[in-house]
Amino acid sequence: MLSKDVCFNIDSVGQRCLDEVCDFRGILALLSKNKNFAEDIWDRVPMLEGGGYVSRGCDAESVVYASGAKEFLLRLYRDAHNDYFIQPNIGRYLFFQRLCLLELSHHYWHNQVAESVSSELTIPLPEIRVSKLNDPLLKFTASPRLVTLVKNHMVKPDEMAVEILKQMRKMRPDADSQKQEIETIVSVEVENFLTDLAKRFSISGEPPLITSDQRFSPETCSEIIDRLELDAYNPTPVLDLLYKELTEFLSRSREREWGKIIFKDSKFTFLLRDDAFKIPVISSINEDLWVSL
Amino acid sequence: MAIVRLLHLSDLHIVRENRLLYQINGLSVYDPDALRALAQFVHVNRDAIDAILISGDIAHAGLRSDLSRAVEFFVSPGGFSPGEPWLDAKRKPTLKTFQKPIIVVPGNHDRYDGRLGLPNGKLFDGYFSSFWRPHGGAIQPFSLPDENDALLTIICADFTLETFKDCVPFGHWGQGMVYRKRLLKLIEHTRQINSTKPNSAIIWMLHFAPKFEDHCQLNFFMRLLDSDSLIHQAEKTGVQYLVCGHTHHYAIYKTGTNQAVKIHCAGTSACIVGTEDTSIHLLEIETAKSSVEKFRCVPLWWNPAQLIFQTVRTN
Repeated sequence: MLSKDVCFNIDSVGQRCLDEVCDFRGILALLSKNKNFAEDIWDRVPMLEGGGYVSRGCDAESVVYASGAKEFLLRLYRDAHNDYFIQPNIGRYLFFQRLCLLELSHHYWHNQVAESVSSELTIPLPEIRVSKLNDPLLKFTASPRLVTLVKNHMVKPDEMAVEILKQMRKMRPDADSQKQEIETIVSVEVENFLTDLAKRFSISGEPPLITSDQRFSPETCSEIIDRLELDAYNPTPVLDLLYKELTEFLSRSREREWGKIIFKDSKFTFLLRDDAFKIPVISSINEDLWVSL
Repeated sequence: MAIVRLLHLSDLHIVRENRLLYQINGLSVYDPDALRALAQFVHVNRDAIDAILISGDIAHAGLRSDLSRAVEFFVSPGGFSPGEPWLDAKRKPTLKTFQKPIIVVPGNHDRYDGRLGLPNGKLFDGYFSSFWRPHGGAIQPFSLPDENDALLTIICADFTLETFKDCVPFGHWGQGMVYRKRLLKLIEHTRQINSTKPNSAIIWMLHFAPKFEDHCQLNFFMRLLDSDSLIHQAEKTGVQYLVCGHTHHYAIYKTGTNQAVKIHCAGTSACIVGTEDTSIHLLEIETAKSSVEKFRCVPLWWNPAQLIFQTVRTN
């Protein structure tokens, strides 16, 4: 059996993420840590909507490269993203943004925005750390750009909108259920990953290279990273789950619909059923299955 | 009499990144294994399919990141993996080996403008310009097997929202609208095909499933507004068949005053969330003298245990 410490080549994970760090988390971290620098970035970006997202004109990567501060960003990124995978997430971020937009809309139609916001130039979400995105009621100061956005796009909230807003405020993210979700996802992805290996084997007839020198091969690592979108600087929670799932999958060698994989003496053996992974050929589809409309 | 065989796909919801995070939040985004199986099915059956129809929501959002990833699925060269020509150099699935027409129409997600999901994003038009070249911004006819010898014309209509103000609050994420101007264009194109291509039958393709709520449950925020006028005009112009998606649920139903309009609503072809119908659909359309004589279909269902699409539903 592979031991845990040789299962994953963390260096390769790290390297990959060094190459791909320029995503919204990096931008968010950047905005959260250094306002002057963020303003500098802000001026370089044709359009930033809703606080930190680059949506038109250029992508996040070009912003960061244009800034010439990749290393700086990397440092900020490492600091800011702790437990990112488990805690804050896109859904909450979007939810939070929508809430902000609604709040602004509400204020706008009550003529409060002009005095309280538009005179002050602020960067959206400058003070909001990634880890604080859990709180949907966090105070938010809108930038003039966002106010303009609201003015241009939002309709006057009617009773229904106000009611929905109230409901949204009551919502609270549930960290435990999210953790459980992640466990389920890891489990499913491991199942799918190994099933896909078996499927590839059925096509090519050649066993895929899963391990190399008692480590998972770079291809295997790369695929797992890709499937699980592993976070380079804090992969531990997911890697632990992944390790558990992989060892369980391999040690039990339970039979699947397509056959099974046996892992013995550091070797993988694929046993496939004759009818495994058969793709339907149109000409052979049973006439009875066709439905006339 | 001629038979045209189509593969109807819908609601792929391809994203560049953070797929799992979307999934954790219960949002429908594509599953890479399903997309790979889809590309494999197309490749294996490429000689038996005359064209692929995709009725919208190809990308999860109209962002550069998602749209660029989505368009890679269509144009990225394949053939780098031995025995798996449906995979590109990065082992991502591609339809590039399918050398016949791929006909698309944008959905509401393809038109999301920015992360807030504002309507009327225009990036889709640029990224998919090889596939979506509408006349007047919203209508695109596509004749099969080719323009000069048309047996069947698919007229695609984009009824995504132009502005927030056209829907109820919060409706902009999921609603569509049958705009009068676009509907008139659709009618104009239909009449034009009738007169210029007398041998061609016509079906309409749009993203939103009209009157779906009369047959299956559909959240109000997901509906096509003013779909009565669309159905009325379909009846009036003699268009009997509409293909669409959006609901992520497979349904075939009849609507209109005389139940003369038949709708084929595909499920989602690549999302695997909960009770949604992950499926792809073969359509066989028999045409004669400019009318559809026979329209039959068979769904192929996602089998998560074998990562393939098959005729038997297992989940």
